[in-house]
Amino acid sequence: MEYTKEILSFLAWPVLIYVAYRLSLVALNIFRKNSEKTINAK
Amino acid sequence: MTQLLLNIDPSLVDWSRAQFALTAMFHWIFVPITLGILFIIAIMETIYVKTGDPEWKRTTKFWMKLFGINFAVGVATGLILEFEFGTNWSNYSWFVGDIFGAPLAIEGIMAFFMESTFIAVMFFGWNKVSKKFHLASTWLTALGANISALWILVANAWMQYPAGMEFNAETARNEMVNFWDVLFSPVAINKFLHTVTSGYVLAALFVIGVSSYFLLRKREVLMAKRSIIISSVFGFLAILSVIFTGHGSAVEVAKHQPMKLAAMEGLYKGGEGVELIGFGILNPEKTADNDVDPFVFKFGFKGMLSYLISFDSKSYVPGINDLLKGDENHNVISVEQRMEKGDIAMNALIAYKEAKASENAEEAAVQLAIFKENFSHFGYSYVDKPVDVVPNVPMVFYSFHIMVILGTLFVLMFIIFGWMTMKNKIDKFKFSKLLYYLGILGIPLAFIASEAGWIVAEVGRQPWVIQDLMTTTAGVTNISSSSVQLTFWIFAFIFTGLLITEVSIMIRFIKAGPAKPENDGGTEL
Repeated sequence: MEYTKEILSFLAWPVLIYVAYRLSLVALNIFRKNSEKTINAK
Repeated sequence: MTQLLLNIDPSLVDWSRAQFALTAMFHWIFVPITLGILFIIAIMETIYVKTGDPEWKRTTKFWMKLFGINFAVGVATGLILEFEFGTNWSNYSWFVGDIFGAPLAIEGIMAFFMESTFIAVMFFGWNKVSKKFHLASTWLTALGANISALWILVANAWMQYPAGMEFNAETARNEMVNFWDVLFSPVAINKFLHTVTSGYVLAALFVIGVSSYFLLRKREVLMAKRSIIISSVFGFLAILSVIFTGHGSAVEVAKHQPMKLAAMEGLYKGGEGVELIGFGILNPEKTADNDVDPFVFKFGFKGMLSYLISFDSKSYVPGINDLLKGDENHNVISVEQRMEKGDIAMNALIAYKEAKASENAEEAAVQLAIFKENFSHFGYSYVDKPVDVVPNVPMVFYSFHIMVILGTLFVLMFIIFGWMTMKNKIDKFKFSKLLYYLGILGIPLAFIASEAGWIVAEVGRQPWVIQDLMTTTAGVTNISSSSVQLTFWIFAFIFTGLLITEVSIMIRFIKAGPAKPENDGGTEL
């Protein structure tokens, strides 16, 4: 197809947003666990 | 052909360019925050809807408030920008209106309407519509703003690489023949992704900066930390995209705008295995006409520029002088030759029109064939002397390198801020305060990098308003220079006033912090 590479590149854009959302959840979970550890240590 | 341009006052072109640059640069202060922060807000609200944690609602509403202040001023400057195509660049608009008008119209009808419709629900729909509908509105506002950017960037990319069009000799206008060639030109896709994701980087740094302020003041600690985590992840992924698409853009620039690439690197004499300049100080004495060393100081990476644009460290990259004087060994045509071909195209067009007027079909066909053969050099008929096709090298070179250096710093900032906050150590180590100040400093640095990127793109393509087809001088509206000068100062005054107002309102809201917690129940994430 003529525009395959360009269309795939374009589709990377919503994928980036979705990955950012999923990774944010992972990072927030790690943060929550580390916060709990800090509170427990106190 | 240059005779036709003699009645245009050179200062008119400078003032018209200055006015457009002023409006565009002010507009670009507000737009990147809008593009990026909307997705950050949408992610925060999604977490709120999933968990029901009221703290997330507070956080979402706080950033939404800052977005709202920014959005209003962004729209004001954007509207002026579109009018300037008609008021200051009417020759350009007439020449390409059939192509340039389509993406602008789609931007207005589809994207901007979508954005404006859902923004109302986003701001005023809290507690009036269901949580899910409100969330959908936030995502659609984010999507609308970004799709709006897509169309204007497609239009801009077309000016850098005119594709999907044909010149109609009858009307002397360019007409679109393939919409998909315009939309999916590699220059357009790279430009869109590079520009919007650079906006995400800026928005992420804005959120980190404001959150750093709260941590410095030991206020709203949980909101600040959560905001830093989301924006660090978002910003880090966005900057990876900026690097990847920046490389893609450079490859396209090498193909379609080699003079811009040479200016970006301060490369006067090209060759095989050309080095990439890490940073350097340009010699102010250097011009295309003398043999002075272009650099007072530089450090570079051998063969890297060749490698980056073709994945071959020994490939040929033309320099400014090679492009001016031509290089037969590498099929580079000199500017003088292109000017001759441009004149042939222009004369053939005039002869074609005369033949058509005198109903000489045979002569018209001959002239049209000559015109088409030389059309790719058409714009060179407007060029007065070869050296006029060299852009302002120091401005392009320094802007490009400042952008790249700051981009590298931002990668490190996202990693450090994200990691330290995720580990919950950001406020517990020796240099916390220093890190917060760096976070706050990240806001102006992000704006500098972002504006520098546009300077590379737009100053780097001078003297062309449409690459190789129309010079800026030919595109300008022939009105009195003093009227453009007057409106330039009026705009400068109004925009500065708007900026000061926006910044002061934002600072006031930031100092006030988010609203008091609402008790919605729910679980914490």
